[in-house]
Amino acid sequence: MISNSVQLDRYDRQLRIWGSIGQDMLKKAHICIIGSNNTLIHETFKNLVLLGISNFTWFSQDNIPEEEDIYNYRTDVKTEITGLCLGELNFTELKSNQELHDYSHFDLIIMLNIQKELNLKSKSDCNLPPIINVKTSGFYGYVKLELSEPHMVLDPHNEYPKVDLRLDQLWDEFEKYFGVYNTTEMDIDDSIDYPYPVLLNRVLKHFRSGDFSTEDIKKNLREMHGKTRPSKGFDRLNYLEALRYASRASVKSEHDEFIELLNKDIVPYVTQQCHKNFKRWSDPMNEQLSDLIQQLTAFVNENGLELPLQGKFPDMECDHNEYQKLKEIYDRHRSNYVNAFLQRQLLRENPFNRNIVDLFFRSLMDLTIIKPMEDGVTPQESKLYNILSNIDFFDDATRQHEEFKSISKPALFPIDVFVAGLASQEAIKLITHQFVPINNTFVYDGLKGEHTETLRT
Amino acid sequence: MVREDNLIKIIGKDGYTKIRQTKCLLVGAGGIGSELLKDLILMEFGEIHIVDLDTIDLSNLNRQFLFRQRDIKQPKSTTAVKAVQNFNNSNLIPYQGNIMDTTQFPLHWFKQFNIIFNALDNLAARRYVNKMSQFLSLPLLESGTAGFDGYIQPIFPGKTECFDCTKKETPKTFPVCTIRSTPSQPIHCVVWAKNFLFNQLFADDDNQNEDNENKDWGTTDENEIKRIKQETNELQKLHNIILEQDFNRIPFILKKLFIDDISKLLLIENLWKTRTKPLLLDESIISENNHDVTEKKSLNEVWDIKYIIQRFIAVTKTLSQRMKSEGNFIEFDKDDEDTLEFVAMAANIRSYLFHIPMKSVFDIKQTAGNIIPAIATTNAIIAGLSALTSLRVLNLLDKYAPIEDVTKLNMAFTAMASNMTTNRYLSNPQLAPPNCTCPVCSQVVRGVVQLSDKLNEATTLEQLINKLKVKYGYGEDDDVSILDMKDQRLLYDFDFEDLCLRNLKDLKFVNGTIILFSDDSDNDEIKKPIELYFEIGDNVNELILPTLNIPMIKPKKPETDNEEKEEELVPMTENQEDEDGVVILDENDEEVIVEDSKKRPRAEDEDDLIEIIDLPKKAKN
Repeated sequence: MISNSVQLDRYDRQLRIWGSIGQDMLKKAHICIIGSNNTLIHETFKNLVLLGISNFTWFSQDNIPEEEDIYNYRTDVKTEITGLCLGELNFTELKSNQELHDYSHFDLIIMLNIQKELNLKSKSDCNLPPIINVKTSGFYGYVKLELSEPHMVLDPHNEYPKVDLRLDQLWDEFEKYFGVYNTTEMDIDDSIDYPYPVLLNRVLKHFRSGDFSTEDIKKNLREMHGKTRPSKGFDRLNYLEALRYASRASVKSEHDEFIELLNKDIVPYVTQQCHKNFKRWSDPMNEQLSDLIQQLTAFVNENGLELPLQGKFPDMECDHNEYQKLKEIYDRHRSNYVNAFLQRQLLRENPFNRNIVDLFFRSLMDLTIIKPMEDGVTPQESKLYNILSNIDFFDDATRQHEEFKSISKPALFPIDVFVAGLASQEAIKLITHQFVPINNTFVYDGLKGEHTETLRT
Repeated sequence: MVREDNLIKIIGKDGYTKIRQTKCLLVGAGGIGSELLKDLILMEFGEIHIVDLDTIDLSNLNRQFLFRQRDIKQPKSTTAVKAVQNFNNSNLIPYQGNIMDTTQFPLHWFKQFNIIFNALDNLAARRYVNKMSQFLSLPLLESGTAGFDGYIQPIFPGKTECFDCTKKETPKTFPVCTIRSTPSQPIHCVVWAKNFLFNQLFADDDNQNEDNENKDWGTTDENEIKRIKQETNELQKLHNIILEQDFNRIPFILKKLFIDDISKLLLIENLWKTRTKPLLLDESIISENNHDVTEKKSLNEVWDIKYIIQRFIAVTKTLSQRMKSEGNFIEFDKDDEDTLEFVAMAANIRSYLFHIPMKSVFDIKQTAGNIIPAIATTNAIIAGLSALTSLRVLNLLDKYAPIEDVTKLNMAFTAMASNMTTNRYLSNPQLAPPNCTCPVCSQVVRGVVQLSDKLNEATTLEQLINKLKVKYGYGEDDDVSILDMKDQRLLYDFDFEDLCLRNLKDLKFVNGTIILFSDDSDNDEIKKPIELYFEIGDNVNELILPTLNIPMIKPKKPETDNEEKEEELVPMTENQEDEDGVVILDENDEEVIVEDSKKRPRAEDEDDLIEIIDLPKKAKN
């Protein structure tokens, strides 16, 4: 047994990206890989094993005669790919899983340079997991995501998380906190210690709801600052912060719009997906999140509630005790909200995981759903993608296509490395349900870059 | 071999012969380096020299796939070379060393290569290798990753932008007084705990014997020197508590740092006009010993102050016990649990007193260790791009895509994984020509001076200046200046002639010294400055100055620096402490460079800044 702290240290640099929630999902993931023993496979295995994934089923395509059941041709990862000493790249014993009955049992399928049409089907009443379909040839390659069900993102890690202060939707405890500052005439010198929401709240008191702009708020802030330091420039840190976040003082309309979006677009789409073809969800996280969206929307609608608090409570330049007080008020509000929501779900068969609920709610307004290609929607055209996806069926003459005369060579080594790296990168996003996957095809021109593009195919 | 045949199919027999004859330098055997080494070997590069300073750490193993648990603490370069033997067909030469070490890697050593790959993790080394590539006109492939994001940039000296042509993410800088007297953010307390306190207590060079009279205090104010001396003596006392393992006196350390020192700060009233006064640590908490410190709390949580104090005492004791067996010198290492905990506890106590939010040990580790998140996949992607581009740089793919002009080549940035809304995974902007204001590649003429050891001792600075003046067409009385580029040390200008009669060796001219020789006249047009690299050794018996074509340029107007606007808003105290030395926290996750520079001329705005250099972020598209 490897101690937990060694595990933590070994994966420290990636835990800082997707946290232990993400790492656990990688650790538990069971990945199916279809493709023959070559550079693309080696690179993919190396990348995935390094991440901490250890449960694979590999179908080595070389072995598959026409029309035969692919299940008879499993290859043992451990014995076949020895050069890289894969087992040593990971703590856990690599599993070559043999007890498998259906494609829907995998968490992810990766197809690498498959030379024939593999019409993967699920034998059960379950959707297929996401498929990453990879192709390389010459200087070119693509990575394509094929979905049977919508991929729901738990946390897109938006580069600019929402700063959600709720100053225009105060709750009791919060109101009381501000009340202290509002009743007394603001002590000029003390205001340097106030967290900036206090300053913004004070400014907001000047306005009737709705009839002010961000500029009005800024103007008021400047005046207020002027009173504290008549002769000096605008230099107090908490005032500067208040100025920076002035636009976040009022978020009600933004929230109302999002609630409407939930009701009109998102929930109907998700509900429809749940019943489509009477198939069950393949991915438990997709199922949980789609359920969560429906339940939350109902919760908000029924109780006339606001959305859960978004993002994290931001750092502030102010007195530490004041900061703590305010942070606790926000944290309590957030946690009360989640409690009330979970309370309502007590009778559920599969209770929601509190950590997942909390994480998902925080980035709710950045909600990202990658939708499968729908029937009847025309795929986008890419000359390079068309050639690459059909190259195995071309005759020699067609292969000498003028524009891509270098295409029919075996893939150049670094092209395989790049494409396998990208496929593994997308695998992380799909398995952890964090970050936004490429939607849905990345076509790579490694020679001149002219044909590099992302499209829906 | 299949791998050879596949390659020949694409680059042809001639191309294959060429690649077998190519000698490349790979700087760095870490995340990108491990991947690149594998790629270059499998692409059949003839000879690969691998330079890395570091040893292997557990936290490397999630991506540096050539290393195993059993290799921990082994040098990266040699271990990597051993690890690839089962698939290697190239001549591999590993070095464990710092690429900036001019003794081990003098300029002429770089000359043997056809191409350089940078797989580095810090700005200083990136800049240095960039400069070497400029001196020798060697193509350089620069690369970097952070989390899901990465970039590559091919650099053709003189033809395309160099590494320094675009502004890199400006270092976070903090005035020393912010760190020492008026912290306002958690990071200020972490820097204080790690760079001042930790070093004073555990990594202090035993410099009691140092001649205090000749010491450069960075100020001439007698009172100020007295105060610094006193502070140094006080810290020496604390250091002695550690050395003597006087555990009963550990509370005295707490008292001195968090009561006495802060009381002194409170006396400086100016500091607290616009700030909340810090608290003094409650002495009863220090003596309170009933807290159970064996209880392990989660590193992910913020601990309460009583527990922190007790942990501080416990970890100080542990470190103090370690001192003897470690030569009375322990360096901060974020992966050394004791040192990390000490810094985290000290930073948190200080935060607590200054009303700053405290942080968990996990978070402080990231700040103190300058940890950049890193994953295998991004390194593979970026190394793949770098390896592919090298084939174009070496003209091996000309028959598919001839390069008429190197600026037609591309650099590459991967999209922020969190920001895929534009749905462009890769952007490939074409290379730009050199930025004409770039101080590295455009603002100087470069050359190599050859000098014998003997003449290094026999030549005075004045004689060198006269020779330079004659060689490069200056009049006898023209004003010139000479700067040693290593530490920006001024050796000569029109009103600093003190060193004229000293010989070069005396002035620390060694093999690898780089000087900047500039025209300081007031004319409308001046000669372009010359950067000269000194190759000093036994290869020659004389002083040979390179023949250079020196163009005339318009003198630069003094620049106004707007970068630190945000920082300037921080009210500066009138009562700043004067601290000689600039602390550079490297962005690199491994090391901290504390430069104890004894610069003679110091630009005023450079004074008293503590720099935290961040990873160069993606250039703006």
